[in-house]
Amino acid sequence: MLTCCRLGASYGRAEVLRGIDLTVEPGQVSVVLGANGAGKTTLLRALSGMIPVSGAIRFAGEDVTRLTAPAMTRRGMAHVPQGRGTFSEFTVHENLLLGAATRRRRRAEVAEDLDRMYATFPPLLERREQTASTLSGGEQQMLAVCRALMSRPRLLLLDEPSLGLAPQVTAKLFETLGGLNRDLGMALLVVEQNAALALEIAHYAVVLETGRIVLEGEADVVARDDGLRAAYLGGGG
Amino acid sequence: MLFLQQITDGVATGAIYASIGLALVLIFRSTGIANFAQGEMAMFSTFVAWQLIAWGLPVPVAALVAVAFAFVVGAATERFVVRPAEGGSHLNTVILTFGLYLVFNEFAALIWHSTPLSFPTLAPERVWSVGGWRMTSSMVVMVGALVVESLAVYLLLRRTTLGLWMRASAANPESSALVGIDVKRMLMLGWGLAGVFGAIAGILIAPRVFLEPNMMSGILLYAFAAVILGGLDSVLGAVVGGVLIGVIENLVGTYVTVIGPDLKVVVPLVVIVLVLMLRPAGLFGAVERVRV
Repeated sequence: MLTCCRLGASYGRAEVLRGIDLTVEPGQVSVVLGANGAGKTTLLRALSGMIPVSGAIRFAGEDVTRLTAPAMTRRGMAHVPQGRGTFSEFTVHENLLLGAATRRRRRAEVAEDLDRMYATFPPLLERREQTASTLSGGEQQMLAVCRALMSRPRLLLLDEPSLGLAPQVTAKLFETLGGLNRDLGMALLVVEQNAALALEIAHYAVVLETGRIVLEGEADVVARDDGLRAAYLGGGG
Repeated sequence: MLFLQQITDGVATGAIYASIGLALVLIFRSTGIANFAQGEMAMFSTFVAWQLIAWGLPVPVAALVAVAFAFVVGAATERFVVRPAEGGSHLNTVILTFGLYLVFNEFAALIWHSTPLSFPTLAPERVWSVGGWRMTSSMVVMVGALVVESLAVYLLLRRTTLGLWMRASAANPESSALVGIDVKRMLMLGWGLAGVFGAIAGILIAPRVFLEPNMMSGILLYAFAAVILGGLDSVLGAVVGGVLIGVIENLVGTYVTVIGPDLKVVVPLVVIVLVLMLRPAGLFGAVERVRV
């Protein structure tokens, strides 16, 4: 579904990513782990067309290396950025409508999807006319995910969805994300600090260190790796 | 009666300030810069209308063509002048708009010379008077145009999907790009609309002030005072601010004898200084909140 080859990215002179080879299979959850500053966020931004890259990216059989973010969204990749990227002074409903920006000509379909979102996440319906900034952290993250779903993506990129959320809220969020994958077959690429939780729903895992992949494999194999356990899962156990 | 007359005249000229103010606000909201060339762009479009009238087009048709021309010039300015400077500091872009000011001003002088030209009203002028109070058809048109413009902006921004995208692009360009909105196109559209509002103001005020390359420089100053008073990011603020400035200007010019009609140009300057000192966000502007 998504493949990148020798992917590199820099901010000015600083090379943040180099030589990344990564494949996300259809219907799979892939998780990117790594310390702060390892380049996880940059990797997502590079894949979704937000920054210029070197190397090559293919998505759904097409070379998308030079495409911009709106073009990637139109092709079925949705990106929930770090900090959620909700439109904070816009209402919940407006946020969801904005999520469907690529589907302007399909009003009936969009209306159906809106109904489904509200049915699945009743708190959003209750706060339909409130601005996003009045929502709790968990509700905002839910809104960000729903907004991304409104573009009917085939691949959903999530950057640290658990950031700033209470543990129970995070657990519920990952349940929802796992459900999206199980029930709808949606492919996910998740950057996450909470490695244990992310590995639970992941099929494949990649560990980044200073801009390169140092470890990758099936999620359960990576989860048993001693180095990883020491670094991210709280001690060698 | 003199008092009522001053108010009426003030509302009419205030409508012109508000129209230019709407243009300034549209651009400030989306790009975060003050477009100092807005008045000159309006003046240039008014010259285009004058030229078309001189070539024999009916006045309303010429005005419509000039307004369409203003849209194209506005959008092209964003695309070819402002966009290449993107990513640099805002100051660069503001200085660029000063450059544009000179370009439009000099080109107008080059093509049409600097002799003031008379410019016709859209329709033959009619005057109504009751007692000592006078009202002209062009005053009605000025206020009417402002009402239509404000309603159009309100409906566009608040009631249409396109307007939602424009607001989103202004508020959060990065997230807008991520949901698939062509943010650059929204900016171009904003600049084009600003050009339209400017041109309308220029065409409506030209019959009163005579058409010449420096026609808008004073008016732009009043428009800036209007948007600073109303709040640089508020559409409603531009409208209310414009009308208030028009009225205050007239009242001060008439009743404050120290100032009088000759010195009333200090009015907008005093308003700018006072507002920036006492309430920098203006009457309707969003007060910037610092998040911790």
